[in-house]
Amino acid sequence: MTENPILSGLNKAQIKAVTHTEGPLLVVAGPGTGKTHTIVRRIAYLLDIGVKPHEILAITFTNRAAREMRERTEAFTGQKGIGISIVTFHMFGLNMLRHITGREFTLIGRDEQVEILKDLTGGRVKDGLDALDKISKIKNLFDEKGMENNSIYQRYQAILRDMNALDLDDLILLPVELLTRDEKAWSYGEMFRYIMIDEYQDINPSQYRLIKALSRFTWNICAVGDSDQAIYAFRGADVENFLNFERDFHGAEVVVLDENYRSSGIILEASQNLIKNNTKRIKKDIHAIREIENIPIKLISTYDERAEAEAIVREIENRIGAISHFHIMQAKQSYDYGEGSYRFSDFAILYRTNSQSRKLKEAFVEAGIPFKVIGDTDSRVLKQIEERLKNRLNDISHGSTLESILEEAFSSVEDDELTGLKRNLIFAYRDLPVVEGLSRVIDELSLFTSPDAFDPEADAVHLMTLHMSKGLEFKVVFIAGVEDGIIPYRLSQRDGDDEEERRLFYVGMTRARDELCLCYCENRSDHGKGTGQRPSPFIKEIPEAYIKHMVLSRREKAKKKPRQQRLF
Amino acid sequence: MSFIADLHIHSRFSRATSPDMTPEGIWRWAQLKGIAVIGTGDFTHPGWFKEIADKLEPSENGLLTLKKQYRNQDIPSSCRADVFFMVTGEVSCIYSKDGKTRKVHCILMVPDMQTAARINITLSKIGNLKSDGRPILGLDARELLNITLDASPEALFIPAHAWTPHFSVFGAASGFNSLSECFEDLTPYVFSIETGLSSDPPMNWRLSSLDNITLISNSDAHSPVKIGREANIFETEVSYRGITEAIKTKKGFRNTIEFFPEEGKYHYDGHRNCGICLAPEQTKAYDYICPVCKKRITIGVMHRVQTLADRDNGSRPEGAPDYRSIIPLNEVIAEALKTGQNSKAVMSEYFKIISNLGPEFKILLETPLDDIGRVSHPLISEAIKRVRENKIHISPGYDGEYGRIKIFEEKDIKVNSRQMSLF
Repeated sequence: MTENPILSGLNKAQIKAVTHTEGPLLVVAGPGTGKTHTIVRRIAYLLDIGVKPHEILAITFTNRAAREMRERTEAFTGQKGIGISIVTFHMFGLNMLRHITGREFTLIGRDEQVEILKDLTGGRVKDGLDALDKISKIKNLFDEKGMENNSIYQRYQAILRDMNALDLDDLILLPVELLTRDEKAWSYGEMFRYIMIDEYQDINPSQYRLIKALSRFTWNICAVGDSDQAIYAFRGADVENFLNFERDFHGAEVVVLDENYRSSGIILEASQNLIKNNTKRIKKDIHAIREIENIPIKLISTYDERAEAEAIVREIENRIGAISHFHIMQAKQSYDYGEGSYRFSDFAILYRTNSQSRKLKEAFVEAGIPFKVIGDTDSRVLKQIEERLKNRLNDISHGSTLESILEEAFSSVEDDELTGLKRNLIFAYRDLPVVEGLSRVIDELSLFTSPDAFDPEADAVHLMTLHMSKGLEFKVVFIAGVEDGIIPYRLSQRDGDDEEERRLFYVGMTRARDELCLCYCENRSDHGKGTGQRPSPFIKEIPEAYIKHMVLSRREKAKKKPRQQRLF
Repeated sequence: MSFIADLHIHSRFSRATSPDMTPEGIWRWAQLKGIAVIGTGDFTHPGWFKEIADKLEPSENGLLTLKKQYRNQDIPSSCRADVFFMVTGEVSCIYSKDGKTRKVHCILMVPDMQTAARINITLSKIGNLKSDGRPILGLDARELLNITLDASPEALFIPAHAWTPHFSVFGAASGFNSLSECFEDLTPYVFSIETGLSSDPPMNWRLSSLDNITLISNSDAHSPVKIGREANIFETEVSYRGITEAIKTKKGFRNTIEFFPEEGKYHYDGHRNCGICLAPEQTKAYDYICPVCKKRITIGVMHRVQTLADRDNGSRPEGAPDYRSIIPLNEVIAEALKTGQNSKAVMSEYFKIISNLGPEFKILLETPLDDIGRVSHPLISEAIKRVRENKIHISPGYDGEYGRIKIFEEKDIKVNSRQMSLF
């Protein structure tokens, strides 16, 4: 018997997930277990058994995930895959509304929402933002009481109706409503005979209702996800939906993808040992497939966050080799250049809160190592400037020059790097007619990385929060600030959700392919009061045998030979 | 006309550079040295870009000049001359290719500030330009060449100090075995390499693959006094086009002015901190392992040339431009006076000589020895004579340590001192 090429190279569990097409299916996909790979093959398999492209719906959370899944599906299925819906929840809602109402409406973004709510709450931006939070929560949690009783909510909805406008959350709510009463909606829902939902552990109550509403038309619901990677409780996501899948979808088959293709055995084992302390989870036993050297997890303790940043820089330099002649001449020993093959994008530094990035950035600037901060203010500012310039494009007054327009658009910018960019843009395009020059500038700015996007092309060390790291992988991962109160994160007044925090730490650990390095400081000024920091209690949940502890105390430079010691 | 150009230097915005590397300071020292065209360096740096945009102005020849209001530094009348700036920069590409970390420094020469700005915009999308005047980017050198050509077909891309072990296209530690390994389909757009301090043209002539490549030499100066320690002599019009055409075609490229390669920091192999300096054959005998620290020995330029050479020592390809070897005047004076290179005594002697006789290059290369003898210490004219005749001794540099020059034996100095007392 010749092997079906769609199944070739898949492991047993993956084959089961791919070929179980009829009836509900829960695919428990731990980190690095080939989740997207399996979904892509499952889509190809459906096509192969005669399912029509338009009958397949795959829902993801982010545009990035949708794009990646679409590209990989197209690459695998070719022409046959045209017409499959691989979309985000919002995109699905938008398509459906357009299809069945046949009318156009305005989609308003966050800024406009705040503008409306600010006016409703007395004119202060802060109050507008608070109200936005509340309204978004009511919608995401499908809080019917709130909908009926909250007066701001009702006034806000009325304004939107008058404007013929919807906000992003409405793109979920409205379809749910229509699917309960509108015949056109039913026929739209009926179209999808095979539905897949990615990152099922992150769905919120209103998304859950949407899935339930769709399940009235087909029982072929495949949920993919990992209860151990549920990290969006703060946005209203509820891991219980994942845990209850078997109850909600009677007769569901559960497949656990149990082979990890990403991390070294030691990293995988350490993370499994950590996460098994959670109670809200589906138990699973994953084993490592890659045959690589088991480098112990490095635990670096430093005096403060500045020393922590320097230690991380030093660790990167040790792997990539000398960065400049200046470094070579300063070194006490001659540089031993190995046969390394590292590049800057092999390294990522993860942290719990954005405020931790400041000292890290400083250290990277000082070392001259290229880096990118995902969610950085610089790229946000650039996006704002780009928007501002786009608006100016239709409104260029007589006598204004590219220089004057850019000076105005950049007027609030103090950063040298961005001021330098402004000057370069002026020099590069000032000889063109103003409108053309401005269009070129806008084109250039649009090519800068968008604020939240990870750009795999950018060969730089990546800095980001643990939340942002979900779905990514790096050869060497540093987690900074592995300290009690930061990981797990606790606001002073109340305790956080330790299980959620443990999952977040688990997500961070499992981003690492070859090496994982955890750092904590004795003192920290960038986060609360700061002295007398203690290591995160989560560290104790990692077997000591997997850890190599390196203590860099006060004034001791990272380049000195580390003192080894037992952990506790 | 014939003129001297130094097309690779760094501004005060680069690491470990002198605060005197300002437009005014560079302008002044170019005249003291006798350089007509000098690179701005560092055009990628936002601070330096602003400074050169503010203080320099374009002239008709595609080069820039210092604005009149900034020309207020003291220049001896014997040295006063026009100085033109060419917009140049250097980028350190650190990336991984074919399973190995690569580190390649590259010089960019551009016809105007507009082109520089276009390159800067593209590079800012990739990395941070303000950390260092010579930014480190995670960028394939081939891609940098592509970006440069995209910005302007007139721009020129030249691999910097092509042989140094750690940061160059042929470097032993993280370079390539050929230009085409590095630049692939774009290799034909690499017209030239910079030979660096530790190699001279005869070493490069041993590679037939470099026969069509123009070997240029620049100072890579981090402080004013080092400007022009290597340079190029052109016989063409003083213009961006004139210079770059000469580099592309060798027509109008007369010769280079070279460091003695032994004086360069990476001529031989060894370990600076272990005090181990080895000729290539010795390194092989030690099996590339340092006898002191047992780590891998830093492989120098001579060794690397021997590894990649396909010709014997002494072969010279047809049409290869000539070269002159020099030792910078302050070093010559220091050797004669047996005192530090940057000491007061040396610098005062230096200024005495150039104020009387003209810029440094003229003194080193042309001025009759008698004239030099008339205005300075007789040992100095004797030293210059020996340098011109290559009758000097240098213990080679290695692993970041400069070679040590010896122009005089102990006895020479005694004899000369006695002669002195006769006057």
